Amino acid sequence: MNRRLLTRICFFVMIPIVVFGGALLFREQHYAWITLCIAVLTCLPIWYDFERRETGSAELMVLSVLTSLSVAGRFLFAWLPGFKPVTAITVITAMWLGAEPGFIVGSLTALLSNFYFGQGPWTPFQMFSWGLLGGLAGLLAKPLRKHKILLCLYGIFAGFFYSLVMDLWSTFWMGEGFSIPRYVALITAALPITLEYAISNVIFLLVLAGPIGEKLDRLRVRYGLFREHQ
Amino acid sequence: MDIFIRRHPLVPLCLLLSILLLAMFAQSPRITVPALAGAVLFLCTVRGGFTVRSVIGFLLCWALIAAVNPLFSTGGATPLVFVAGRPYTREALLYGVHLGAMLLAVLLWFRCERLLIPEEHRFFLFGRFAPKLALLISSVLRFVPLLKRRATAMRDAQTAVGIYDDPDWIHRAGSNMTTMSALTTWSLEHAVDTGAAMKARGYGLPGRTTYRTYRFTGTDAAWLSAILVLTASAVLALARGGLGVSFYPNIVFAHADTLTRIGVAAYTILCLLPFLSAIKEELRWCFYRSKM
Repeated sequence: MNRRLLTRICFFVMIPIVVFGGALLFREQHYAWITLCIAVLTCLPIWYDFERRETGSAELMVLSVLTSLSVAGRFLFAWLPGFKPVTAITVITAMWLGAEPGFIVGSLTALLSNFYFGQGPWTPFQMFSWGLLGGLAGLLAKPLRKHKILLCLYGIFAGFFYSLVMDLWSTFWMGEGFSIPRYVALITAALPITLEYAISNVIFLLVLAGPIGEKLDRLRVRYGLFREHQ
Repeated sequence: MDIFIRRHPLVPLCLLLSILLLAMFAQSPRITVPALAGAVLFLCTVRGGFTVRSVIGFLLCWALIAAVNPLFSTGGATPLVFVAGRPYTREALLYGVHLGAMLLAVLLWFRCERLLIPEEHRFFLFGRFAPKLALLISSVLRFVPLLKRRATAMRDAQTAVGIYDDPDWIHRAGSNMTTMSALTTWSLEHAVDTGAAMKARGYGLPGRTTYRTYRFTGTDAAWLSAILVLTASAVLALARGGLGVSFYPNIVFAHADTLTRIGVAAYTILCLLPFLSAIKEELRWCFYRSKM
């Protein structure tokens, strides 16, 4: 069968059926179902585009090294819980290589680090939030590279965004629709970790953005990688 | 487990998706109980299913969710005690118990996933539909231990020179950052070489083969359709509202007619399939009679 036709059918027929059918079927839990669909369906087109596009083997290897660095970073700094370079490396990748590589590194880190730290229903949401943070940083690349203060603000925003998305999903999944007291309670309980995320993002961004960015820039100039992503 | 190891990877994938989606979103004790039972039975029979620490963690998590829920929802009709002027009701407590059981069932089925679909099978599945994703996953899984080894090597070298074992944690974090930076240079350079080597060996040319191939046989088709039929009857029961249960103000189960019973039975069979395949050898040992 024609591959493109199959893709169109998938996007325009199957996806609406899955989203609306699921929402009708899982009456009690339709908020949670739709949230899950949004998280998965945001990642799908970007990954599909990445699969279809010509990507050189060296570019693939660079992406996998960057992903491995952020996965390994979770181990390297394991003696300080919650203090991890994942967001920082995703953002730095996006700033120097473009939005799509940023999205890929962010969402792939979530998927792969969970092979070590445990998969769960949270995996699609981690892929969604880290991917989106990477993609957004790619779109804001120029100002982020120019102003240190904006980079710090983005790190703080990233820490809060990540926590709020994860808590939103927990609230929906616990049923009874959207209960504001429950959401507030979850946010409050997670506040110390959220602050730690934000602080570690800022520190890692400030310390790593210069050295890693320089190296990524060198890859572009010397080997001509990731030219069409800019 | 051997039934699923020998099957085409689509079969266990389909089974897991059916079990997980229903367990996550159906919100009914008639689904949660078989899901939890199936996962616990399977994990108890296979090696490496449970550790004592994980069991304690899971039970604590369950108890916490059950105990905390009545503090947020006060809908039930039978108050047990009053906490800060708000009723702590029996129905809300039972809702919490069910919620905890559901979360636990889903987490345990994610644990089963690792055992039901080994890495090789997973790569095969990804490799068919998303070859680049499959390549990224397998190379990251190879790079992570490699990077850890390189980081250790650099740290050892620096410790030997005497600039690394600072008791002050700010300095320690600083030297970790230095290691990370050096690690990046080393690994990125290596990545470009690897990419060139892959290109030289013909990566990306058409006609690629995989290490293991799984042919989709008639038996696989039979398994797959059995799973789909069982899932469909559970979904039918769900769609007709037979699985519905309302917790507030009193706990009321929907009337269970024949179709609902069939649906619940079908879902129970789905959940027990991994367990049954795990103890197949034991069953054969007990029940097989020699015909000599």
